[in-house]
Amino acid sequence: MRVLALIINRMLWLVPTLVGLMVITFTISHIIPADPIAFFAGENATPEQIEALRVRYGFDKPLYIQLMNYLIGVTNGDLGISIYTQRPISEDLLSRLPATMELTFMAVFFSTLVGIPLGVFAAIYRNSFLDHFLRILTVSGLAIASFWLAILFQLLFAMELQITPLQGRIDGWGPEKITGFFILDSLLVADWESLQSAFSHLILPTLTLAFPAMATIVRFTRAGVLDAINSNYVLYEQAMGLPSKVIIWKYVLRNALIGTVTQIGLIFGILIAGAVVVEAVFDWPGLGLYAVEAIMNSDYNAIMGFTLVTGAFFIIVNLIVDILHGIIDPRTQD
Amino acid sequence: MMAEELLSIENLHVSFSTENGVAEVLDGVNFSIKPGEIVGLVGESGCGKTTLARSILGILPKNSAQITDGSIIFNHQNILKMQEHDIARNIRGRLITFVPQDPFSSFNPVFTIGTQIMDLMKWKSSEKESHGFFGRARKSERDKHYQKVLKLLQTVQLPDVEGILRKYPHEVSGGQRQRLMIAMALLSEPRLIIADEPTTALDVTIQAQILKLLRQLARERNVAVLFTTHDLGAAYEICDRVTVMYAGQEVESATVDAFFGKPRHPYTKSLLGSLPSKSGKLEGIPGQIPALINPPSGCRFHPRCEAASTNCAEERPQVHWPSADHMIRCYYPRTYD
Repeated sequence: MRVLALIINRMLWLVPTLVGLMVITFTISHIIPADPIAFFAGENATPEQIEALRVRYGFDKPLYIQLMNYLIGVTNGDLGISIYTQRPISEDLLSRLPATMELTFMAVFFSTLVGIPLGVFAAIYRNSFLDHFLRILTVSGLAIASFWLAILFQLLFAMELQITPLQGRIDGWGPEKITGFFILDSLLVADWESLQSAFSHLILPTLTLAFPAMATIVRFTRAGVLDAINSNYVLYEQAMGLPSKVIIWKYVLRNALIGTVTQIGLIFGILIAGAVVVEAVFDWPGLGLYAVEAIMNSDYNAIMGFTLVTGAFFIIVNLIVDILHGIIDPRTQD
Repeated sequence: MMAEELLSIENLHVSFSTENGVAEVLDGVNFSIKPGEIVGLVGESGCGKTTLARSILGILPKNSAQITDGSIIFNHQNILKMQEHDIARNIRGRLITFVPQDPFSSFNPVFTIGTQIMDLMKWKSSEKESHGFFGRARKSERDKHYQKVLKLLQTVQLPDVEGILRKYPHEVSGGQRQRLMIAMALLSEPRLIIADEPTTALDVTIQAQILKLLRQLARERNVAVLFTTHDLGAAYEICDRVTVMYAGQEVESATVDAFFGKPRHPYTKSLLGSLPSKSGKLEGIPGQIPALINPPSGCRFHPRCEAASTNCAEERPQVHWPSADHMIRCYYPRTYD
């Protein structure tokens, strides 16, 4: 019941949060001096033609009216039309969302899978060679710019060793579209060729995104494990002679994960922001690349749509994190 | 006399390396417990009670503490010479169990009480069968363990025992948690329970109940108890014998009656004198506990001792037995005629 109450509570908060997000994004994107209509109409358009387009897209009205119209549209599920692609924003976003989600989930999955055990080992063998090595690795992970890392990976693995593709999401047309997630779809229709291609294309962008995420997870897990190891309950468990593998991997780890899980929620947000850069380098047809193009073209509806979708995604991910948090740590439910 | 000891510690030296130098926290301690005996280990904070208790359990902090000399004979075996593997399997949590000082923080906060008790049962039960890596016990065995746990929780007078097993530690009271800790210490049918200030964190009214319970259960099962405390009243309540420590040295050990009635060592006398009495006069001990880095030579109490002479600073007095069950280490003990 507590979980249900939490979900309802967060869903109610979702609306004002997203409206606030919309207002801020709308304001910022309109403060930038740009004239998308003039750009769209082309060099040879007459002032009358430009004015007509302005009226057609509603840009002749005051800003607050434009904002109200947009928000009313959103409540009806209408995110407007991209002046650049001339297609509904919702269609554009839906066609690109799976690519970004696939990349983000792979990066989180990989960084969690590797980061948590490494964090535990760094804490158990603190100040050992392994710990120092991991410290260098994690500081690098947090300090190195992802676009630079992406280019280094491309140079090494794609150009020099030629074991991965340079860029793109897949060779050929990809598997029959069901969910839009290539890995999932190719598994569903048993298209092994597509699966292999999709997977090999995922490796470099995933590594690029996962590296800083893993660094965060290692550091938080290490700190959490150290905290737990020095606690009275671990002293008690040791005094009662429980095997150390049970103490570490059961009793300590669950306490340490409380902090790590919160971080993983935040990492989703960082990864979506990071995807903007990484997708540009790897020519990955996801939301990030779409957002970059939208900003370049001052495509207001597209910018707003991107913000709305990623904002909602981030809020939902953090709702899931809060639920997990409650499951891992029963004290938070009171 | 020695042959019947359950636990016999001889000449135990433990030092801690600190930033300011090496602290000799235990300086040649002799200490013993007979089967089924309840022994109080009393002394001020920092006198080495907890270090002694942890030495027996083998849970001294690995990085800083070092046992430099001495022996701990338990059940005719020197624990200090045993393989860690054997201690973990057969001694710690099996024949020697532990009741911690703070029942609030000694439970793991994110697992139910049932999970924690059943895990102890699984790994430490006297009728333990072989397990896989994470020790998944067979269902029949789990049921047997569960029944045993329920019975034990009733023995420590807990209400609604099945309900308590489903609760998280923060959902039960401090007194109940300490009752649970006592039950957990009895699970494996041990020979010795080490209770490290088990009532310090509890309300005074609950303290007495817990002490009575601990004594009664230990008596019924013929389990020896090492009870460390700085509360002389608590020691008087439940102990058969009391050993006093001062700054890492044991100074006197006697039956409760002799200890409170005819204390021989000047420190013991001062300690008893500092208890509140009906006359309303509170006498402290002049001076303060010495630092354990570069401590006083010889008997460490000599700078504060009214009876001290030059030889006290030169060499620590040998063990001396005024009667068969009364031990002191002092050149100038008080006498009673």
